Amino acid sequence: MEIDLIYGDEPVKCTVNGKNDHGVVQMADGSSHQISVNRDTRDLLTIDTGSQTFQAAVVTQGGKTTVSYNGRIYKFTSPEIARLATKRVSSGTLVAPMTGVISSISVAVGETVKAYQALAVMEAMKVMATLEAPFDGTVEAINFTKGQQVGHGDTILVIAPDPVPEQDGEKDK
Amino acid sequence: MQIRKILIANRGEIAVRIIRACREMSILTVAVYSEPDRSAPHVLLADQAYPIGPGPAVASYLLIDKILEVARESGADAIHPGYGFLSENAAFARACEEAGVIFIGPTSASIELLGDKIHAKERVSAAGVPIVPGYMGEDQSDARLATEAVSIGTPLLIKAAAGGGGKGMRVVRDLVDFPVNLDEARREAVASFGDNRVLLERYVEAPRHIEVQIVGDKFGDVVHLFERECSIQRRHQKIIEESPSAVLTSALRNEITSAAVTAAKAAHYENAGTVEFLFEERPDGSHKFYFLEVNTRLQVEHSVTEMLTGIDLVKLQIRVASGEPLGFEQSEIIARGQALEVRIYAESPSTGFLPSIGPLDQWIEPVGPGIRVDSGVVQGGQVSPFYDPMLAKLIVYSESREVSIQKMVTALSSFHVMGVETNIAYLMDILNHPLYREGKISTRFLADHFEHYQSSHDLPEEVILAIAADRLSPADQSGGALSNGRPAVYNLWKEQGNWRNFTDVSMTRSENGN
Repeated sequence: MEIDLIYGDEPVKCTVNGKNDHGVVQMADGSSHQISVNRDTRDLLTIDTGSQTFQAAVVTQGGKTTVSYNGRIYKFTSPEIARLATKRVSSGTLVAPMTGVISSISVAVGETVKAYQALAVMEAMKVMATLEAPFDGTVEAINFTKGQQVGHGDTILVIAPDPVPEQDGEKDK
Repeated sequence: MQIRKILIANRGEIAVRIIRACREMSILTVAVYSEPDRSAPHVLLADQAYPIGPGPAVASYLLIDKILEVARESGADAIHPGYGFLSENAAFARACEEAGVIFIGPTSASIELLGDKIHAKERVSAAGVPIVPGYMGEDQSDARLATEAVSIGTPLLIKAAAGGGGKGMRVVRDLVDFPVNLDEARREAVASFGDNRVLLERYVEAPRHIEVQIVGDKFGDVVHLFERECSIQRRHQKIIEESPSAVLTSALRNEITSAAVTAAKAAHYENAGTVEFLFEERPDGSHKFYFLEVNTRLQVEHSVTEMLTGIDLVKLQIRVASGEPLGFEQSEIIARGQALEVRIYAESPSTGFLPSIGPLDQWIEPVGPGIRVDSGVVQGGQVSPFYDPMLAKLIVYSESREVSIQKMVTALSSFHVMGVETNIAYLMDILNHPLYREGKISTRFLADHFEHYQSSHDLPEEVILAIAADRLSPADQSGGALSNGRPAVYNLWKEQGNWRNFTDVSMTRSENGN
């Protein structure tokens, strides 16, 4: 099996071959490791490399792989998901940074906004998060109203940027 | 009076912890729950459970009348308020007293007295307990305040008398700046509290937070169960607590614990409470401590004291509330070894500690000798946006501070939580900080050393091997597996919540039908 993932901006690749919970992992740097795996009823993996034994938990959902190891969480995405995410950052789509409730929305569709202007405030567990305009532009869409619950990553507002001619060509790439 | 059934007016880990104590005492339990908590562990564990409203606490866990109605209907003879919510609400304690239900905590009169910070200080100060030198008089003239400022000296703190939460607070380091700061503090005090009165206090730089656990019975006996140091705080939120404190000598320990007992007796305190002190280490090597306030409830960090002394504080609370005497002398309470606690929060240190909400895809608690986990969540549960983001407390106990820290780091490294972000790596990094290891801490520690915290991004080889191992040993696909491998077992009781003796069964059923 080929494993092809992105960690941060870096590709992580390796090959794993084997069966019955035993196998060989071929790392990108050419090194290889023999591993034996035990998965318990809680889905905790105990991995024996011959020289050491360690435990980790792995959850894979929708192109995202998350690993819990040694008190830290490591998040990976498939290359396809990573490409989509890069596209979105450059747009004026404002997504909820956390799951919570909309406390206020201070703009209306069609309104022009300035970069860093506060557009909406959301709240979760008494923590407030302000959503600011990423650039000068016009409010194109507002998908929620005050008091509504939103999920992490939901699109709250869409801002259309003021036209900047020299960037138009770049965007279509 | 014998207590036979206790209503727990709380949720999460503390509700679970209280239910366990009741079970050991053969006392029946009644849980109350909000809609999103329908299948929470405290609801499943309690003998009976009643829905009391929607998610927001003001519409559920803070409804005094509703909770008392459930107490009446379920036949509970006592209510344990836990911490937070109604635990320090004098009106709730009084309503219980009037309804003839035992409130497991101090009397409403004590809560009221100690809830007023100025009166509390006056009362304990009169009994000889040291308070931060300052002025809290009625004469608020500029001239009088200026005179008092000179006699207190700098650094000086100006605080709104009606205040809290840092509003109307000013630190004055040079008396020349006093008038300007006074004006600003007054203006902020009026704006925030509609009251321009201020207090003046000597400002203690980088203090430690040391508190003393006390318990009193209805016969006027009060004992202490030693101190807890809670100096590791992020924005006034305690995150690591330990006992004994690394800074107390046995002479200082005697002084501070005696002061706590004196303060409790001055307030005719009964049941469990915590006397908080500000502890100052002066440049000349001397130490001073000052009374801050009394928390009239069981604290989150009570478990530290339980590990250290072997005394179950919740059971003790229940016993004294039922009218039993403490049953032991001060000299019989012995502290041994070192207990250390960390709070596991659903928050994201990498994005400015925003709360993290969602499904708990993975929740594997550490186990081992000297490790205790008090949690109120289970794998597959949901972290909702309505309540405090604390998921669990991890407490370890060993023969020394050094060993306990190492035990804690090891325990944290085998705590697997996925689905929501947590502060586990952050806690490990704090515990590994050389100054923390040396016990050189203060309430400024995190602000000074962890202000712009970023977790390490290095990718250990083991993580890649874990992904390979996961592919090599795929989760069991039989029995209708979920994408993450756990079988989708449908458990009617878990879905419904425990609604025995439920007043409106049809409503819950239809609610769950969709």
